[in-house]
Amino acid sequence: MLAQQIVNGLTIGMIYALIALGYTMVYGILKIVNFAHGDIFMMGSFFGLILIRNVGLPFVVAFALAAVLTALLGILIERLAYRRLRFSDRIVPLISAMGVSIFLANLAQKLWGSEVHTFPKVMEIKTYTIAGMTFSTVQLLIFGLSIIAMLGLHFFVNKTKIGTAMRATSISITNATLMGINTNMIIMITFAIGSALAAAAGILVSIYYDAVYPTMGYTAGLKAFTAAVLGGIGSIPGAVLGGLILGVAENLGIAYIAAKYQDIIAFCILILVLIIRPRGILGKKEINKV
Amino acid sequence: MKRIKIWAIPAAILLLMLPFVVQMFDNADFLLRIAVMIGIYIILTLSLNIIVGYAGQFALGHAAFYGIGAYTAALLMVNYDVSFWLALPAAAIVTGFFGFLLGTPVMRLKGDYLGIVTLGFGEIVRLIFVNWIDLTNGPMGIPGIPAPSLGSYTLGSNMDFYYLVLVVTVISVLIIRRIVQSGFGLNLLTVREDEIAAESIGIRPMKYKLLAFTIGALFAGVAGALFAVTAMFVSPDSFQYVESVNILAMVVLGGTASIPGSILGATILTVAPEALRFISDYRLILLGLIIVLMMVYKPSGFWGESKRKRNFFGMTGR
Amino acid sequence: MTTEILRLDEVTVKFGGLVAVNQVSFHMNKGEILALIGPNGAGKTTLFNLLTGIYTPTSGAVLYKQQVVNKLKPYKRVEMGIARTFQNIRLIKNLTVLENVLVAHQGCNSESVWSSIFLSKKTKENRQAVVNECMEVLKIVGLESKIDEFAGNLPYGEQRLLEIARAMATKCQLLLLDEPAAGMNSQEKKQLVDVIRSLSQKYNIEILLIEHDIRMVMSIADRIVVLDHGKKITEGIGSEVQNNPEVIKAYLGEDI
Repeated sequence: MLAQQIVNGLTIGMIYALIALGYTMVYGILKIVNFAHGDIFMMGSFFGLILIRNVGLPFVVAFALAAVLTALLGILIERLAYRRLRFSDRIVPLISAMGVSIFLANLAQKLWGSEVHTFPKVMEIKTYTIAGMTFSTVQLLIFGLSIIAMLGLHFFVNKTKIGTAMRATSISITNATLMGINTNMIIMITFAIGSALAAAAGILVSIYYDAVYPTMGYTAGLKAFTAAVLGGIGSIPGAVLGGLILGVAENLGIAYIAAKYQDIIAFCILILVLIIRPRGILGKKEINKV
Repeated sequence: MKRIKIWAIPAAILLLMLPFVVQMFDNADFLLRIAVMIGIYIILTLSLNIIVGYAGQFALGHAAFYGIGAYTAALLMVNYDVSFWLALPAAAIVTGFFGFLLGTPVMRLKGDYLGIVTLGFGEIVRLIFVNWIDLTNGPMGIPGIPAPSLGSYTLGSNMDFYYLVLVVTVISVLIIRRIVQSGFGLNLLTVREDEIAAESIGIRPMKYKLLAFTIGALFAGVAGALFAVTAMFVSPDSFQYVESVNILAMVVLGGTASIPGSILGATILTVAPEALRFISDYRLILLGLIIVLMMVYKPSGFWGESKRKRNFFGMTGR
Repeated sequence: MTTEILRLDEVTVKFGGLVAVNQVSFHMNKGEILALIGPNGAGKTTLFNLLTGIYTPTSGAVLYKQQVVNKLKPYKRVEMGIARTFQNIRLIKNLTVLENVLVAHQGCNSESVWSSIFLSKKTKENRQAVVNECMEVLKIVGLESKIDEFAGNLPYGEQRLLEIARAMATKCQLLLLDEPAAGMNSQEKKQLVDVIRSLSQKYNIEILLIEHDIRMVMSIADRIVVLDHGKKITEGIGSEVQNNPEVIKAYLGEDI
């Protein structure tokens, strides 16, 4: 029972982690909370849904194409809603992001209606029982793809030239620009990767829960942000760790307290973490110099 | 007080005569209802502006305080037959107390973090409205909130509500103006700009931020009580996250740390969606777009701080 | 016998392994102007932040009016009468000159929200009194004609003077000036010396200043404390310090 809850928690935790990576990467570089990220995730789900159900593409192609489209959406949002605000007061880009969030959620509602869409069947659903724990093929797919995406990101950020430029940009945009790094390009790539990961999470969670709807981005976004903060915002391993912890905590809450308190548990964790240890588990401490 | 502004008299006459002018239209009740909502939003916007504009604290859960005020007034009036005139201050005090409770731990947080915590708080409050069915009647809400009475007269029509809201709004605006145009207001602006400088001249940032947060919550409670009694019904739907964003958009579009700005922002953003009703399907899409465009091209708002009165303290040095 | 206002007793500040201030002791007497000099990195600003409460000493004691103030918060020290200016000016740029001084005045902070709301005649009188006192300070620094300008629009030298006026408005007894003449031209420096002198005389306060301009320090300070690498190397009156071989070595290097 406990082990099974942990497995289920880790599954949803992987999804939170994938979304949290987008928050953490953008925050690491621009120091803004991309409030629209949850809605980018929602758009990713819809892109996947439309490409499979309406266009009739095979799952793998649709998955990749949806990720690309969502990445382009992320780039567009950065270009139109954030770029000019890069050096303004921190509240300004955040409000702009909320504007984008309202825009996307309502655009989706207008385009696809406010009802819950079911996701077409993309694979044979089988379950395997190992040591008393049940795994479904969907769960295995989520584990597999998430781990591949995370390892890929880890390699990209730490071992490639663009990844190094990304880390440099996150320390100081101005300095990185002076060192000859095309920071606009780096920021675009960051948004693209973050959005593509969100699209992957969106499609996977849509298969898992068999539901796609325009307001799905809000709660998921907030929880993923919680995960990012819990792990230490700006830290990539932190986002993964935070997502997994949150997913497990939430599932144990459902199992042992009450299902209706699922969201309250997540938000209470968020508030407690921010009050007690705002830099999160793996985050760095900010130093104030006089 | 000695010099009443020239525009104040015609403005006052206009506001007092408005319900009679409105009677000439077929949809008088609808128009009065909008006017009532403008008043409520003016109080909400000003109360959030104390926190966001003057104290510079980025709070994203104002709908929670609005909701706590509304539910407090509604529950007192429906379950305990408390008169509106007692329920109004009670709602203000209860909400202010919640502001103080939340503010004590969270006012140490900075910027985005504070925004997210208050957002989470807003969500928790809404979920409690939905889930604590014994107290709040859950998603069904609380219907049948009685109309306030004044002596033997019952304030039951939309016109009565208009005057009720007008009086409470005007008093709230005047009080908030006194509060911010003072040493306290100067202290808030100093804390907002530079906490280290503030401490170096004996200002305790935490104290002022917390006070601003409490006062802001308190006035949101006033607005909530007004909403409960004029809508005669409260339910969790009225206090969603979008409502917090809406109020924040009013503050920012009007202009932070500006009283005329807040009045303007609340009025425009209440009227615009109604005026845009013919394209009602698109109005929230448009709202999102307007917020983004405003931030990109005019982040200081329609009536920003640059227009503020130079001498806040009310006394001149000459 | 002179009364002692401030005393540092073997104060040490460590940041991790780095010793920024190492067992420094000195004192200040009533009405004195004391200058703190030393080459870059000598620990002057750290010492300053120690006095204003931004850092706490790792060991040793800071006594103000015979009271240990090691751990008091900055705003508490302001209440006790210690005020400061900043090396990198920290004015509130979008408040006016007068408003910048007003916020520092006790009368502006102590007004309750109730009295702001009711704004009685008494409250208005109190406010006028606060404004008058602030105007007096502004006259001394020579900014009384610019009270309605935004602080951010003032020229650099005047911003420094405004910071001094703001610190004075706290009714401090001990004024700490962190490089008040930095970035000033010689004309402005002369004005600054006059301002510091007249403040010292008119209010009979103690002034501790960090300054690089040796000529200015010699002309204004009653005594000088010299720091190098976190240690006090000497203290004394102007000419004593100027001719001290340790001081020359600290400033000019080993082989002179």
